[in-house]
Amino acid sequence: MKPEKILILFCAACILALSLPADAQPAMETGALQAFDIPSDAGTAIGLSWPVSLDAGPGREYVLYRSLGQDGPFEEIDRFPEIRQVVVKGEKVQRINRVKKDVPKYFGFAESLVGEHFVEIEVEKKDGKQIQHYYRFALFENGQQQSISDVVTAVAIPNWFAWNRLNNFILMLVFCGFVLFFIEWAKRNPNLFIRRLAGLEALDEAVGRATEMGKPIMYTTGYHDMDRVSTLASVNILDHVAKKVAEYDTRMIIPCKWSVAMTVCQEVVKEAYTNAGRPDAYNANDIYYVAGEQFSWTAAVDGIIVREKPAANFLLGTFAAEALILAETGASTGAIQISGTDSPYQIPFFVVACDYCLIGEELYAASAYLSREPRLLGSLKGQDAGKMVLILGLIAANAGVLIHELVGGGTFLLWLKYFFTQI
Amino acid sequence: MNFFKRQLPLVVVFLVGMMLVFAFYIPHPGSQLVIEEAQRWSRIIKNSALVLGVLSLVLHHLRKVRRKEEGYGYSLVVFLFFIPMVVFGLLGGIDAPQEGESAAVGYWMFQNIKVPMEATMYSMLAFYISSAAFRAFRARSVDATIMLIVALFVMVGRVPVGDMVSEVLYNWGLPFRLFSDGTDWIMNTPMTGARRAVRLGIALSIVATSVRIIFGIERSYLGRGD
Repeated sequence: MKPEKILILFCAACILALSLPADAQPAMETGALQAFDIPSDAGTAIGLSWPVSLDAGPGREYVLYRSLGQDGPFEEIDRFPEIRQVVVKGEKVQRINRVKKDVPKYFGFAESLVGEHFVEIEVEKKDGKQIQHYYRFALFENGQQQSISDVVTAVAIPNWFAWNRLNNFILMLVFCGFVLFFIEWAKRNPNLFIRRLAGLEALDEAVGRATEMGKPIMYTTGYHDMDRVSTLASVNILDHVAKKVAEYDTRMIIPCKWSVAMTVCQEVVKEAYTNAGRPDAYNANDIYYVAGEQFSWTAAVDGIIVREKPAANFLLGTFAAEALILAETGASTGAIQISGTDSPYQIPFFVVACDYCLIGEELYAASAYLSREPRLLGSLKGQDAGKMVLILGLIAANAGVLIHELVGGGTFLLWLKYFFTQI
Repeated sequence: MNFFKRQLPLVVVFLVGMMLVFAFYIPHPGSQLVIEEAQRWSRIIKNSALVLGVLSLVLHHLRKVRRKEEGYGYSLVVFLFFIPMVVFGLLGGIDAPQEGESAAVGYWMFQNIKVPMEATMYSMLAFYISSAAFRAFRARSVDATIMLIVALFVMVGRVPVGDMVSEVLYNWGLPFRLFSDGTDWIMNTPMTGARRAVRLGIALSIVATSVRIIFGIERSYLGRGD
């Protein structure tokens, strides 16, 4: 055969292969049932997979059997139709019934199971030891058994590393690396720029206003306890506010929703008064526990605002539905309100009802902003650098997905997409 | 003494923080046991600290009543409900009654006093949202005007009137349901994008703050006194 003919046939074969549907599979083989240990888990489950058939249609049903021995007896444990109807925007669409598609693999990308049925089975244990079962499935069409598979088995093994979180691990190391690098870098270059945050600039003004009016300040660390980073961030700001309050000898009321947060706030404020040389002025009675329930606490804080009429309210931390109730009550008394939250749904309420609002990450940047300590400013710079890397990665991943959709391509582009999206 | 107030907490924070971070990447049951134990200890500490909170609450209101400070009547109300709830809760329990049984007093008080009062507080949000919207939606600038228009559009799209108007316009020949599809697009596209951007910043800030706390760079929570 002439080389030109061979080349033409080769090109024709390539075109034919590329034009085939992506999920084209050979006719179903019941002998293709595979059992395997679920990767990256605590050894609690195994998986069964078999190929999806081109002949798939309504009326066909898979029945799963299990036995304690390879030769049986087998008991039915599950059955499901091959096709299920899904309603998408008012139109019924037939979908192949993949019972569970997302088997944890690298970055959660189950490329090896595309085009396959998959079932995850939790293993049974007795006296701490795993009971090994044997599985097979049968295909029924309109109630008649068409084929039956080989018998398979697998043992669930606990894994020491979650490979499906490898991308998360790498990104975590990269990001933490940036933060730590810039912290060290900032020791040699202490004059770092940080943009103005109006809410934090107004802290001193708010404390001064309360001092001039002879009214107290109300400070709240939010809905959550000290196990949340947002509450820690709020306590960092409290440290600065308490220092000012101690210097100006202004009364500060801190109604707390949690006992641990209460004790931490008491310690922080006490230290601030001691370091300001006024330990006698510290009043622990103004930092107290009010209630543990959401709206009980909200009602108590509202009562404090209405009765004590503080000149300045600080609402800093994580808030839920009570955000607007607190902010509006404070606004009704004419207090200057400085708020800050990492709850995306409450930010609009604070922006509307408060004079100043720290949005999201500004709350966490407060300690660095107020102290101007080079190490803390360096960590902010590292955070920004890590964020830039992540954003560029997301852009590259999206571009890769677009290219893959338009012109096809290798698995590298899909891996890039899953690296940044399957976190 | 300084060691127990400064160095020891930093060491504990570092060790526990690193342990829990790496436990996230190790699915082995031994590692998960560490996380479960840490969570159990956290619950024990929180619940133990509740004693401090209750003591603080009782002493605070007792002081107000004893000195007859302004508003001490509210403190009396606190005791009026606090004492029976504690007494009946301890004596009769607060579990839901089984079929055929009568409810314990503590359970009845919780369901018929506390739950409706919480619902009342929650319902006040409707009025507060109205007053906040009245103050916020003013066309003072270009940005504020755009926000006002979009907010009105979404509000109309979320009520049956908006669906009705959209259906009428659709039947008249508009290729899409104006308010219904428009609201969905606003909520699913620009708003979701903005919210994800805020969440991304928050998530990275949490990681950076956690790094600072674990490595002892951020120490404000220990109080000053370096």
